[in-house]
Amino acid sequence: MSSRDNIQRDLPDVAAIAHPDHAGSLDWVGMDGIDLPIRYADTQSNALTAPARVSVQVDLADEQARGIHMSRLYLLLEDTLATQALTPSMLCSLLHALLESHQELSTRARLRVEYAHLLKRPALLSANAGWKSYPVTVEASLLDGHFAVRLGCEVQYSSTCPASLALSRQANQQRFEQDFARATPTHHAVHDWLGSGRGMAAVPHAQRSTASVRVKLAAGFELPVSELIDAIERALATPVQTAVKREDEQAFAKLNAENPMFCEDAARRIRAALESDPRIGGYRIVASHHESLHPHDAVAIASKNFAD
Amino acid sequence: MATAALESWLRDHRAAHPQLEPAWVFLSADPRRDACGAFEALKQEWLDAAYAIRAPNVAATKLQWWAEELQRAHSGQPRHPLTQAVFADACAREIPLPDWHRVVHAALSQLETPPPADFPSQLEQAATLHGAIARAETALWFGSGASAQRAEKLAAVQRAVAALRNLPMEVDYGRTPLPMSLLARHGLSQTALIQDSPARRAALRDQAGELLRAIEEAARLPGPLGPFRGLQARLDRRALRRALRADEPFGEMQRLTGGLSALLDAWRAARAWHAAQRP
Repeated sequence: MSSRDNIQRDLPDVAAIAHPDHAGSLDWVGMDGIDLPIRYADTQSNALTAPARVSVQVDLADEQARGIHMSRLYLLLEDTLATQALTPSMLCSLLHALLESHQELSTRARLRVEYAHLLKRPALLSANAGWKSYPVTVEASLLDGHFAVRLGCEVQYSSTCPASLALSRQANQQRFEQDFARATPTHHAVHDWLGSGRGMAAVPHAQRSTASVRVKLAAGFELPVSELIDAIERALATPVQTAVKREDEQAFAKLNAENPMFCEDAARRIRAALESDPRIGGYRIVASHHESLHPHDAVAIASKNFAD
Repeated sequence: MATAALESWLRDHRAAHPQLEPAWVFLSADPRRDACGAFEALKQEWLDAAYAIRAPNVAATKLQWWAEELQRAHSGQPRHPLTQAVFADACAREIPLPDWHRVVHAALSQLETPPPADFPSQLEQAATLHGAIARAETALWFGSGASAQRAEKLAAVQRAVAALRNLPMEVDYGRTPLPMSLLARHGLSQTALIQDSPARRAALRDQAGELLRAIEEAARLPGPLGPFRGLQARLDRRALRRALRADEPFGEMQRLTGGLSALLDAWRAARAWHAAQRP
């Protein structure tokens, strides 16, 4: 017998031998905030490694058991997530392994992986590009033999207030009336006026905004992380930019003028994008506009076939 | 052997269409069960995109996704579990790509279909999409040499039957489940169709009569039927007959029949399917 076996034999396993003071099953038991590296494929199918924060839980179905085997869960996560790419099939196998490690105790398992997904984004007009980090969550569950995956991401965008835009236009009209009340404006005069400080009496307020989207992935698909982010950004049309030269900044200003949005508009735009994707079986959208007019956020929520 | 993903899609599809469950009994041991069952679910995905999405631009984007998916599947790179299962079948791969695209294009054109003027134009409109589906379906079940005449005609009629059965949803989605001429004859508006009234009962009875005649005409056309369409035809015929006799036809159309008669219908449909498969 090895010294390791001797040590293991000598150490008491309270979870295995002791009975609880108060018996009863527990919905979920596990660990939150585990730091682990994960591997995922970028848009060119290159394998990338990223630091992740992982939660893992199983139910404690055995009413007389004192506790679960946390170390078994941890070691399985460590063995799998650090070495295999994050895919639904890997997650399904991992969940089955987690349950097999708790055969006498548990019937359900779930885990949640949070990491930052880096994507390189081209500038709007110039030839530059920059990296953007998107918070991504992947939740997988195995409940009554039924495997399900949810994918979440956060996308930041700019929202220009449509009401403020209309009020600003009106203020500009009033300024125009005021400045040209006594003259028939010539093309040249108006051109110069528009380019002067007098030519803009008001500007609408705009703010950085966040779309938090969680989708229930239909069975049989890979994780469409970058596709989901792309779809949300396309729908909103004003994602925040990375590398920005003057021409890019002007293009961004134009996009904002063309896409004024209340949070309600943003949520509906995203919903339309998700509804048209057959890979998405349900969703929950939270569009939060971190108002520059107010000290509070404006929030719109839309969901379908998505229970928390 | 179906993958877990395919089984998940099939399970959801079967739960949503319990009336066809008896047909699955006769398909369960068939080696082509996965491909043909997946086509049933795939068909429903297309129909849901065409009929169950309110915003036409959203529906169009979704159908465009399907057009691309069919292109990928035809070239051996399907992504969807349903197209993976369907295109694993040799008969599906033999169906020319334009025939698959015709289904999606027909679904796209359906999004802008005006209310039908009369019963023949209602069937004609439905035939564009449902006929295209029936052609692909017949080629999948029976090979590209099989006549799709009966399946095409029946598919158009079955769409009109489904519209009658789902009348409130049809009206809610801005469609007219009965031809305009029939509404005019009974002094009904589209919105008045939602409420029960003597005029609505009479109109529904008239429509049920037209549909029953059309199903019987379709039955005389050449060509085989798959077990799902065959069973649905038998169920529709029973429902229409009941509606014709009923005081309140709409309730009769909605009533699901199960038990021995449905099993018998499924057995007959399966027997016809097997007979058509024999060389």
